[in-house]
Amino acid sequence: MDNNNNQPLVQPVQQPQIPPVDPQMGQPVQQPVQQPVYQPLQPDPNQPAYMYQPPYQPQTQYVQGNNATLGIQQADIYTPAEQSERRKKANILCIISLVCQFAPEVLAGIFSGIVESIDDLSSNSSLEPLTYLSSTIVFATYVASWVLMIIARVKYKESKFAKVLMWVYIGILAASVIAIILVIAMCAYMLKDCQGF
Amino acid sequence: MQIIIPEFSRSPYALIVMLSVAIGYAAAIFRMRKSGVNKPTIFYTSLLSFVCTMAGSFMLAFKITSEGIGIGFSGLGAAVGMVTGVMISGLIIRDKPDIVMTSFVVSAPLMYGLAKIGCFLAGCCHGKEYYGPFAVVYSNEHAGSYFPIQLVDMVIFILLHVFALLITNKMKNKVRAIYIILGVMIPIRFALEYTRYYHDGSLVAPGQVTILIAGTLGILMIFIWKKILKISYN
Repeated sequence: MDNNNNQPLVQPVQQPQIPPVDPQMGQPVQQPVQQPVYQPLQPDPNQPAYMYQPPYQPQTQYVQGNNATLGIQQADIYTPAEQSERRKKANILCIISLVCQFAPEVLAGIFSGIVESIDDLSSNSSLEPLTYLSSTIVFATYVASWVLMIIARVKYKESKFAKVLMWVYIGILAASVIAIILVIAMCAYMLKDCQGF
Repeated sequence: MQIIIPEFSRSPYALIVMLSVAIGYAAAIFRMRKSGVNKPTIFYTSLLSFVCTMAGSFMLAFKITSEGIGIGFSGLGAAVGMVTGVMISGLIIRDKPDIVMTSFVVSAPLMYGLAKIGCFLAGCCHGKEYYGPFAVVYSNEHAGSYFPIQLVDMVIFILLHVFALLITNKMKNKVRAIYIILGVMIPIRFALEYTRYYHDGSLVAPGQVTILIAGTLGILMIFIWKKILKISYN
């Protein structure tokens, strides 16, 4: 296949220009930029009539990302007053996140106490939706704590509180996963031992 | 010909499920890196998605009752949690959200398909009673001869993963590719329910209604998510 297919069918006509000099100032006079004039080339009878068209590449458009994703050094673009304001906002987010992280355990404890105090829960079907509701609230609060921490990390990248919080959460999550695995393994072991009794 | 599954002293189910989730996440991360998604985006999305997967999995199977705290796992809850986590992350970070979402949606059938190996070896989610070729025979607490639906699940969902990979690589409009993947996956998952032991023989069993509701909600949520993020393909 001939590689000359990519040759443009038009080429600019070279027009050498010497800028005129201002006799008083001794500097070239600014003139409007002239656009190159293109003239169509005569088609080469040896070349195929078509030319290569690159495939249509649609560009995805998103709403603009935040500074963290755009790779901007945030500490350099804010004044000390703005930095202080940002630190405060990040701290508020982190504190709410902390409350959300540990509130589910308190809520679950309180609700378990209420449920245990009601002896005939199994016969009282009206309380059943309440148990689902409590579970939903507990998990939604837990997820909210992570969401708030990630917002703080992404939006206020310079916040050390958010960074520490993230690693604390990751540590708690890792410990929880290990604990769940150990509990399941322990239950399986105990059930195996209980066979025949 | 029968497939005889011995009784394991220690069930490999949990290990296989965890490995399948890890492989699915690794595949999603690899795909995101290949597509040029920033490392912080990958890290925060994977983290939030994992937390939501765990929360979703437990939320649908965790209940405080008079007998104590009931705990378990829910595959459907995990899938809902994973997609929700990716959606929230996309709304916060806004770095190529459609590519990030596609990476996780493509990995979902792979995770499900591989996790079915665990079900196959453990005997859970088994099929209806069956004595024909390739019947799977258990001698554990699920003792009996059943239709090997877990193997069928595994093969179909791994093929679905390949289909999802091909379609997302070919299509520029990633959100449309997600709709097509979900549009194929939901009816297949719905149809496979007919062969399960717990299907009551009715036209639409309660489990199938749950699949339809979750699938429809998923598509609707992705539609709204796309509108909020104003993703467009010009």
